[in-house]
Amino acid sequence: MIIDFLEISNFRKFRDPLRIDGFTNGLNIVVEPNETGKSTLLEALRAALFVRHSANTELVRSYVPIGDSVAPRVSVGFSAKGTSWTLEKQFVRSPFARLSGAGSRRESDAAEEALQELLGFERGNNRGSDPETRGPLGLLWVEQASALAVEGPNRLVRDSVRGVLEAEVGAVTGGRRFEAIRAKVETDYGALRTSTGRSRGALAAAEARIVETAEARQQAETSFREYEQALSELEAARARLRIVQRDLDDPEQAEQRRSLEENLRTAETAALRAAGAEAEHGRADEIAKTAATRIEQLDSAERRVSTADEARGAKSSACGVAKGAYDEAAVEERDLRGVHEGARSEREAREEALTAARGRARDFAAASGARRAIEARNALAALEEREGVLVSEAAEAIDAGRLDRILTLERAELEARARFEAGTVKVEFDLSDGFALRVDGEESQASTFDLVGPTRFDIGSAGGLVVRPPAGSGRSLEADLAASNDALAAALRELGIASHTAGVARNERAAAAARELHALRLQIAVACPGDPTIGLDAGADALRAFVADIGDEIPVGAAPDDDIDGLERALTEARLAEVSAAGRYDESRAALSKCETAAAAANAELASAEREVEAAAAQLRTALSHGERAALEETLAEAQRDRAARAEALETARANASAFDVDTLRRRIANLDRAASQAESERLDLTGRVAALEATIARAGPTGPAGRLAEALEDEQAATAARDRLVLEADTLGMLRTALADAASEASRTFLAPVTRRAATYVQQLLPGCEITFDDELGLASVTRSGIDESCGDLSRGTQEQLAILTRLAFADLLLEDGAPISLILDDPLVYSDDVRLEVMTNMLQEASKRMQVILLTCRSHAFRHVEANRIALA
Amino acid sequence: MASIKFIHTADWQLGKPFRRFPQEVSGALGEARLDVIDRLAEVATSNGAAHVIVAGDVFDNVEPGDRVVTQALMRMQRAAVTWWLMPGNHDHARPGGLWDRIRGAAPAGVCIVDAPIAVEMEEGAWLLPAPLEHRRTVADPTSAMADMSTPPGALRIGLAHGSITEFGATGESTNLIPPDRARLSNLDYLALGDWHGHMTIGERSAYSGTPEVDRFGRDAAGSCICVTLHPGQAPQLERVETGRYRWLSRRWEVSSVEDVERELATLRGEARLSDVLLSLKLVGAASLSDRVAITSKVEGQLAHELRHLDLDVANLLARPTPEDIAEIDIQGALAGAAASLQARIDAEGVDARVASAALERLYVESMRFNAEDAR
Repeated sequence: MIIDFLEISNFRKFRDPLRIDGFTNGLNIVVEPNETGKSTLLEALRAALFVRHSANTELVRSYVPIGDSVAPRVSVGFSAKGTSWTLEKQFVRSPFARLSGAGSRRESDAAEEALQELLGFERGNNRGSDPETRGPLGLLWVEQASALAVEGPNRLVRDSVRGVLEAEVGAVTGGRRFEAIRAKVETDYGALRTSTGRSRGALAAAEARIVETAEARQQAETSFREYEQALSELEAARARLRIVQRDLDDPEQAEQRRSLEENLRTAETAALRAAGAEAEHGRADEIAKTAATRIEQLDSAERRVSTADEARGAKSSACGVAKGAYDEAAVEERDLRGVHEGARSEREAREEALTAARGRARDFAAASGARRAIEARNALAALEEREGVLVSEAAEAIDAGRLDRILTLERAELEARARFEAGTVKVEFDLSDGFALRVDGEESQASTFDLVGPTRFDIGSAGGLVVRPPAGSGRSLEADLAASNDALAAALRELGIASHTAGVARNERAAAAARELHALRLQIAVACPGDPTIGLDAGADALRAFVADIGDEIPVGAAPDDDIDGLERALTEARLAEVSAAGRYDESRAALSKCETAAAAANAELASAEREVEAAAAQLRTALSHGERAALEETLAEAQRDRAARAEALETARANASAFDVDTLRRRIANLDRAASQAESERLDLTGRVAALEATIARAGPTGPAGRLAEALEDEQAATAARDRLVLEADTLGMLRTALADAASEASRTFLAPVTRRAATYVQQLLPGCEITFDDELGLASVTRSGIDESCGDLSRGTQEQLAILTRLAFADLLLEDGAPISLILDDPLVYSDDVRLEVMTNMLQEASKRMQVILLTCRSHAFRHVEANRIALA
Repeated sequence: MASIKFIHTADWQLGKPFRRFPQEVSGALGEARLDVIDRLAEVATSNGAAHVIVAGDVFDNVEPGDRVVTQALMRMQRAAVTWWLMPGNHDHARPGGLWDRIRGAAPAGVCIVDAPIAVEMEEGAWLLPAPLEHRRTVADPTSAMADMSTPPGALRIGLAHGSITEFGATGESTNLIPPDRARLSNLDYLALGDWHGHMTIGERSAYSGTPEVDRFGRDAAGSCICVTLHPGQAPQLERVETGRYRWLSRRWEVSSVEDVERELATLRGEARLSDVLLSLKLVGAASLSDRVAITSKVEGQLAHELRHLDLDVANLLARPTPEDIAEIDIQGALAGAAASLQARIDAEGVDARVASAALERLYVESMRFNAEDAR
């Protein structure tokens, strides 16, 4: 098909009729900016070719320009099968289709069918959007949206291409037959195994059955084993029971036990006898031992008596010696005591003499001292009298502060007087005698008056005179003066002085007295030195007290004439003599004490020896109480003989008893009894066990454990065989399936070789070293670059788009060879291509346009500027 | 001196499960084994024999269960003969086991001889049994027969289960019986069991064989022996067929369906096919189309006629002809698949057998498609 022209009106934005013609057989480039209606043109073309005129779909209604109520109309002029055709379609309102050409003209549905026939597509979905129905036009119509996708061609193209290819390679795939067989094999295989080779369906069931039967077989084995076990145990138990029974019934055992018991009785009798003999021997032995002991006791007592007597003699003489020594010591002690007492008396006499002499000397000294004290006391009285005067005088001293105050007051009084005198009226009378002067009515002797207020003076009866001093000041001055006078007078009165001057004088006198008092007191201290010989302390007070005690009168005799030193020497000598005598006396006393102790010890020992003599005598008496020595010795000999006889008897009895060991016999009897009892118990156990086993067998036997095991074994074998058959079946189908798949791939490869070859020619130009393969659906299956497989999805968008166009070119070539020239319509292609690729692509398109019509719609005029083509601009 | 007539039988193997067969077959085989008791009773009655002696392996195992035991005893009870049952290696005697139980439940006409003690069957005729107490006995189980005393002039009938020493067919080395036991123990007749086929050993010893065959490898029908003993004379032995099912083994060399037809015709002449269990080995080489036709003939026709068919076609080699392959497809993917499978078969690798089956399957599927397509 070659498109010649396109004419539209009332189609979306193209309200006014638009005719695009001048499409040539070669490369046509329709350049228009975006949104000028390029895509609308394609939509119109699609509507004309693929949408039935009578359709009333939303798509079709969208052809009507917005806001208008007109009928969209499209006319396409094209050549096909060597003839020019004109297709006209009107939609929505008065829809019609008309196909005219080759001298004929078809209308409506007939026109639609003729169009399908002519262009090789099927009636689609009236949207023109189903690529499967578009036929070759669909393949070669690379719309903007789908240009990128490297899709396989639609079914109609596939069939056409297959037709071409089958003719070319001469291969027959078997087609439907192959698919049917393959599907059957797949189904059969799928019934046994999953695609991953896992068992399912009958095979899985068979495998499960094996497990099941194996379990059942194991169970049956267990049951059978238990049954067999029970039989074996029963046999063993019965055999054992027989043995036990035989043992229990064994007459030998009974005989053995009887014989053992007899022996035991014999042995017990012999043992009894031996015990008796042993007792008798023991008694005889005791008697002999007693007799021997008695003789020993006698020996011992006799020995003791003799020893005690000897000891008493020795002790007695020792005692005598000690007594003598003691007496001698007593005499010596008495003598020395006398000497010592004499020495003491002498010393006491001398001491007495010395004491008396010393008393006399002391009395004299005391009397002398007292006398001196009295004298001193008397001297002291005069001094103390003077001291009292001085103390009074010194006490007259006036405090300097108070004296100063007197001075201040005096000055104040002077000042007040001065002020008063200046402000008063001084009136002086010089009255003649006889005249009585009365002042304000009062008689006065004064002659001078300082007046401060009106004052009436009456002089006799001569009348009076009133003096009136100036009013205002006089009175206060008078008061001040009076106050000063009073204060001064009070202060002087307090101190007992007439004036300040008098005060100063008095203070001077007091100071002199104080100085003298000091000296006097030193003198008094010197006058009272104290006297230790009479117990008098220093100081006046002590002296006064001392003298007060002794009174004033002390007689003083003559001084004694004793030789005290001589007396003292004599005393010393006497003392030495006494000490010497005392030492000797002490020593003699110690010796006496020692002798006394020795004598006492000797006495005690003697007493002890005597007690021992008595005790020994008592022992001897006791020893002899059993008889005299001869009798005792006779008894011992008799007992020893008896003991020897008993020992012999004992030996015999023992020998008899040892012939049978009672313990052993008893043990053996006990063992026999125990064995019998155990056998009895075992018989009981075994009888029970046998019964239990018989019951078990009686219960298990009727169920046929062996039969069930045999069945279970065969079931398992049958299950295994069934599984093996199914495995073989599955293996067979698996292999067949694989063989079919491999063969299909191989056939495809062979079959698709021509397509691959053609496409490769193009691809090599664009992507040197790159190989492509196609799948069964003629879709691009793989791209191999430098030997590395790449999924189409992983390729860049540009490469994908370019490959999409190139594979279409390859298919177009095939169709062309089939005698169906075709129009390749590209809507804004190669937008992702770089300049180099774009140039390669445009070159290829240009090359292809020598064989087929290529219509390229684009908004990128500069991108295709270098391309030599028929350019069509939209008006 | 009295003479005696009795039926000698053995190896009933009652309770044998036959589980590898389909249920309807195994059920029928099991029932047939019980039914043969009735048949033996008939044989005894019709021959005027009052005794049936069973030389071991009455049961298939040491404890087949009450159902089998009861079924067997009931059948024996209704026959007017005395049954002498002896344990064999399959059902050897165990104290407290199967035989003790059967003895407790046995009707009047059933005697259990599970001890090596001579018993008088009837006046002047003594049975000397050699029952087995173990599955395998190294010692000669019949050795005690020599010491079994019987009244002077009485008929001595030995009953034993095991292999004759020089017999060796089963390769077993246990339960061995000396071939001259009858002479050694002064027996008038030694009734033997264990060997499932009929066989006489000298003039006084015989294996009766099983009355109902239970495995392939015994083409002859099951049978028993009707024995007549006269003092001082050689026993008269008559083999009487008792078996219902025939277990036939065949190896057919075939290369076309016609060969099968021919063999089949022969087989039909030999036995009643509905009572035949056939173990069939097909050998030879055939084209794919022939092989498919042969197997379909055998499986689609013969198998249905028979009681049971055990078919082994592993040795019927498929030799696909160019026509066979062309039938699949001349070219295209199917032809490619067939060629690749053929290559595997030719390589004779481990998967050659599977490949052969796969190719045959492909052929079958192609034919089926053709048939369906034609409809």
